[in-house]
Amino acid sequence: MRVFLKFIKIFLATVFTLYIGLIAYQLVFQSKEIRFKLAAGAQGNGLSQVMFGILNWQHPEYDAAFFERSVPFNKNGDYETGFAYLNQAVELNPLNHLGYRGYMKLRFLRDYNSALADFDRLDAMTPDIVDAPWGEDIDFLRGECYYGLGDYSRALKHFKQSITNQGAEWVDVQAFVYVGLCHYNMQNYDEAIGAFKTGIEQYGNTCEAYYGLAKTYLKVGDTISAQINLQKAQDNIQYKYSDGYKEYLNEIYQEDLDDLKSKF
Amino acid sequence: MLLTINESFFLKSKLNIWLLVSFLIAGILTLWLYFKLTEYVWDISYDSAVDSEEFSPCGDYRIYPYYQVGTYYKGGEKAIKKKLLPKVNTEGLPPNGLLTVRFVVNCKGETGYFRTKMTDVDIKEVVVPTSTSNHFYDIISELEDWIPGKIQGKPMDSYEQIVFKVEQGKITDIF
Repeated sequence: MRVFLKFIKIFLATVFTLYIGLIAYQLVFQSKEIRFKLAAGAQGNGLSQVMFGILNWQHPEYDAAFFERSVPFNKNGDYETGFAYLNQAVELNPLNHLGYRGYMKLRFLRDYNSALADFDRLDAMTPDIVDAPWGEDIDFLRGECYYGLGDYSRALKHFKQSITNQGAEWVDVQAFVYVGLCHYNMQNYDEAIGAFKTGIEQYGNTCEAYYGLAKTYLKVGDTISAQINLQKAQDNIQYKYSDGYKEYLNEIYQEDLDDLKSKF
Repeated sequence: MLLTINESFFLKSKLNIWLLVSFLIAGILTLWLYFKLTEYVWDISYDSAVDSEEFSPCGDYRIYPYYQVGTYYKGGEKAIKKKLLPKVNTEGLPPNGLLTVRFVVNCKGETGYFRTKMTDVDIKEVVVPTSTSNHFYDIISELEDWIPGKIQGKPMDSYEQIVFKVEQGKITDIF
């Protein structure tokens, strides 16, 4: 009996010790890349933040851990904490993180001047390549910044540059929509109509382009064309440009279509 | 006397000490892991000092960020801006910065558990007076067209946020 009891005790103590060792290994001694993947996979979770905290402490030069740690804070409105980590990532590796920081300042903070400063700095670091912060053409994003600032002339220049960068076949169709919107805001209605039509030629379901056409035709007094295009916008509203996190500057809603209908 | 001898024997037993210590550490570690695994950076806990008793989430476990379940306001942020801009008062706010109001939209589309965070132009936190925060909670409470996010067709409780951009003492954007 005594031997059996001793065996059970050794077995349990071994299991507990291995369990403690396994947790310690995963948190502290595992390779930093594997711990990064584990922590990133549980974004926003308390344990994920602890793992990033340990990584930041053990490897203060590991920029990816600071960058990834920032993400859930910025997505959830704690910009002071999120940008403190993101700024550290940028400081360690500006080439990798400046674009994302600019993107976040544009889309999440709508701090257009500060976003432009990041995009311009990134561009200056890579004079021979067209950057794509967070997967979007840098000139498209710069165009959005100037559009947000109400500087439609400069916005237009960058949206046109984005079309040149990507090629008319590959560029985001919203570049044509924004070109149309810039012209519309500068009261160049013929050019606006041309740009919206080019967008529709490229992708026939672009409801923002139909809506832009409807508004522009209404402005120049062509109510029949306006009504036709408003109906097309209505037919394609399910394909509207939207994002799960933040509203786009040119985003349209059913309520916008209803408002325009009420003006006929 | 007998007890003292047993105690002494117990404490001298390296095996028993190993078992006890490893058990205690494993237990504490498990509890700590449980708490860490069930907390999220976006959590808002009920605070009886500031939260209305009339509002409560539908479930008693998890509240999701809006982007995970697709919570939105009818007409989007544009509609929110249109409704809030005429009502908003910037008294008590610094002249420039971002005021973020976070809150819970429950499965019925009701709102509560409001919290504010204000940052200045350098993205450093600025304290907002309670009366100013309450003004923002009041006007956001009047928004009645929240569409709760869903998981497999079932409406869920979720966290939402509205950002007010303050420039030269005025609200210039709401998103």
